[in-house]
Amino acid sequence: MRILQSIYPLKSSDDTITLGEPYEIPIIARGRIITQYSQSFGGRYGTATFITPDCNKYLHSIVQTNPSALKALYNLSIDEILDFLHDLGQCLTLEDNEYLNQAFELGCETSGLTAPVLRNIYDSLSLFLNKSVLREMLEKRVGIRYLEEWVPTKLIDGRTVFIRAFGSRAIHIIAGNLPLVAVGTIARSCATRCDTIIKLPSNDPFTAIALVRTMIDMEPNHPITKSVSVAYWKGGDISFEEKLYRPENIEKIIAWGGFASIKHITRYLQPGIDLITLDPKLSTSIIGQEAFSDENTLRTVAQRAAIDVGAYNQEACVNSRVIYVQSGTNPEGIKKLNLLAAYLYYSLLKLPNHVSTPSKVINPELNALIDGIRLNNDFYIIFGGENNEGCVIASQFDEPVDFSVKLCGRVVNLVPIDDLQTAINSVNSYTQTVGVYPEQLKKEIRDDLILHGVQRIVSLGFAPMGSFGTPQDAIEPLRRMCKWIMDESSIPS
Amino acid sequence: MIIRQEILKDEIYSHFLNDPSNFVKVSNEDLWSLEPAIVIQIQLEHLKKRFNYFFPRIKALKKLATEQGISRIETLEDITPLLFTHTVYKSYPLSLIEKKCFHSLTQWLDKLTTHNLSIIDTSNCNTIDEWLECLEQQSDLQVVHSSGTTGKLSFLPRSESEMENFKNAFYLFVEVLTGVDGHVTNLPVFFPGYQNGRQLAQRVLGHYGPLLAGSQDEYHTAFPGFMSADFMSLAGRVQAAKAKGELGKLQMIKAVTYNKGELLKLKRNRSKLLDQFFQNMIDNYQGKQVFLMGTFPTLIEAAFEGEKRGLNSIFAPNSAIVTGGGMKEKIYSEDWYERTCAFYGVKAIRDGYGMTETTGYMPSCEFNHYHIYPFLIPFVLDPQNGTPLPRIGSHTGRFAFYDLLTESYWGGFITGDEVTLHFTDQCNCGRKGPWLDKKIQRYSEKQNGDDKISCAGVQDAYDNFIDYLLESLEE
Repeated sequence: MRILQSIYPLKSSDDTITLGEPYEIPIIARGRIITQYSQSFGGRYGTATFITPDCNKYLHSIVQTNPSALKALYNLSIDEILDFLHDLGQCLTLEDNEYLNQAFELGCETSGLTAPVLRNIYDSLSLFLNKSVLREMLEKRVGIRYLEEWVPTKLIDGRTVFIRAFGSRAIHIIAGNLPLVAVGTIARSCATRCDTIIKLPSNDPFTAIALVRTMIDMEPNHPITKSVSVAYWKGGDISFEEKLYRPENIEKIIAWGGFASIKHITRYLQPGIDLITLDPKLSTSIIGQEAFSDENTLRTVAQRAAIDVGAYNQEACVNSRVIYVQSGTNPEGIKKLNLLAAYLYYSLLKLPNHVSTPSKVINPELNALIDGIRLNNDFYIIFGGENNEGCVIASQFDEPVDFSVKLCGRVVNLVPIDDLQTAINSVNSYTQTVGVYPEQLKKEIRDDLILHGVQRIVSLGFAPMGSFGTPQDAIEPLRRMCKWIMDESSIPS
Repeated sequence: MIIRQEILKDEIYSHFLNDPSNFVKVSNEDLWSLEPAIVIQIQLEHLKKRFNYFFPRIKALKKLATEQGISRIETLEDITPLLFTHTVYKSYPLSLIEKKCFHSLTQWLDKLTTHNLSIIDTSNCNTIDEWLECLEQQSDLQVVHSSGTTGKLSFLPRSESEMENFKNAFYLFVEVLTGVDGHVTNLPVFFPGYQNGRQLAQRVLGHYGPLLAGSQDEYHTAFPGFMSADFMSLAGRVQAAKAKGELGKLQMIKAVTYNKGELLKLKRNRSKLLDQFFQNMIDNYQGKQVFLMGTFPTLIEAAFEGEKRGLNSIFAPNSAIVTGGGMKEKIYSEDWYERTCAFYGVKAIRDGYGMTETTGYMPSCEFNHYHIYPFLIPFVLDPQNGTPLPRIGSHTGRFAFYDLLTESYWGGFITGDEVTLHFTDQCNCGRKGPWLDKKIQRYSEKQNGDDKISCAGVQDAYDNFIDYLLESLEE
């Protein structure tokens, strides 16, 4: 039965924590916890169901109907805001925080990540709310002075314009592939004094709840606590969304979503509402011929590539799915490529459990596609994939598999090339991160990659190292989330 | 297992044991009254022979069986690791077509058939159509292609040797649905598609339509000429790209050799030709017994259109209206079925379940169950781990089968469909043997929504594509 196991990898039993009762997902509306559960939803992947109150009934609690109430945020200095967020971070430990524990348990069922990887992420949450990290984020991305005061700018015509960055009334439609998205959203939105509404994703319906409930336990009447709402409704619920997405309720929509979801949201756009999209992306790597200079180098390159492929179990947009290798496409080159493929496969298996594990997400369609190409070695050779551990597909000519956009669960495609231009031509605006080896090559091809649409270039092996204090997807989300206001002072002559 | 002779004293069983193609040379009545326990023994004997025959002749099978360490078949279940996933027949790189590497594509196909394709010269091929034509001219192959997932067609290397079996299986199917025996009765045949083509429905009708009709003149199609595989592939890719917002990335127009005038003509003529097709049915065949085959949406929409013109009961009640391929998620008024039957003047319209890879189709009975002919050995696989579920009672899972009527390609397939199969509970219609529930769903639809153009949607995609080409040309 070996081949069939490789078509349909078995779910490992310790990945699932089965709890019979549905999970309760309350609405949190500005410090108030609403628990009148009346609707039931299924989580992604697992068998978990969760129940929520009916958002239609609580729309006026979810949105901030009185803009003057936001003044309270401006009575706090940025320093005080960051202290509050830092303290929040300190409370986010799985040992002591029952909400976070619940988020972790539910995440084990609804997330594409396995328990060890998920646990490692939850263990690191406080780092993202560390005061120095937040301060750096604000200073480098916005400029703290602009958040704190009216900054005078003298213009060439003699006028002085005072500029200040105000928080906006923002709704965040977040992704749930990594719990970090919920944390980063609260960090960015609260630190810039935005009024924050978070629409929960079905694959991580609890992390944001856990954070905000912790805030309530800390200080239920803190202006930050009072400026955050979190709710789940089924994306596409037009009757609710039409009432919600109006300029009197919100000014910015920050949407992490796929093509269909973003297309759907555009129906609500109108003057007064600004849409900021953080699209799902695919990432890739480019390995220059220098990788083959000696045996040790090749092994190191394979290990670095394995991190870009396998971290977060390849659930993140930063993960590499196709790797272009300048091995050459003649028989000699293909031999080199296949050697790298074997090393990469073994490096994937050796990744530590808290970084990457065999996948729990069964994707029979992808596995059927892989098994389809297994019967013929002329075009592709497959290393591994007998179970759910992932595999390396080595193309034997200079093109990726036709289903490269579907690669997941630690499945990567190595593509041999003669000329780097082949790799450069393959990227587009759907490409987020490109990991490059060696460093010198990165500098050489950097500009060309960007012109083709790439948004982030990293040293091979460092793609998962992310920060919320940087631009993202070629935009400055923090600056976009702010409202940039001018006070123009002119003295009549 | 040795089959006990006394069970086989009934002549018909030894007839089937001699040659599986005899399964399609007897009547439906005979087939549906066979004892399932004996059928399984006959199937197992043939399965062993098929494996031994194909193992040295089909390279892909040899590779798979060798890797699995399987050298002989003892039970029906032994074959399941050797069934090909439905993706095998589209496992070629799409770029082979874009780059016109038809020699490589032939080499790829060579590993999936018993025919020797190494001698085939494809040097003059520029399109899929030309390549398929070339294969037909230089070998016995009669490749059938699919309607295409995201525009990538699968190519099933059927050949001349399977055509007779297919015809017989098709006639058996038609007889269950309509009571008409195609071997003895000639009926005017109507098909609201193209006259010829290599997609399954086109192949079937192109081949057997004129035979069933008794002459080329009584084989009526809406559109003259040929449904191009290249066109279908491109149409599928446009449709898929549209769904993903990647239309701008497509650079396929160069590959198409149609000029604007031809396209405009095709578009302009389309509705006119369809009108003529139905008008001909009404004017010249009213009250007559006919054979009409089309997708559900085509049949329903034509019926509704006809209603508006005040027409009903256009054919004789013993006419054969045959369909399949699902609804393509189109929603019609609740009484669509009654209205459609009333328009065509028949008591019932029944459909079948089948795919590019099956010989013939599985007919639905009056209880809306699809019955599986004994030349198909059905399996239900656990969707999680692929192991075969026990051949007793009913099971829901992934449908797989071994087709005993293939002569030149491996008959084992794992489909992408979720089915409920009843192995041992007999259907109320009285037919013996296994059957499937009406509800059949693609696993890919369950998971990620529908990016497959189902058979019922082919025409839509084709029409949209013509529009798309026209827009592109006008830029």
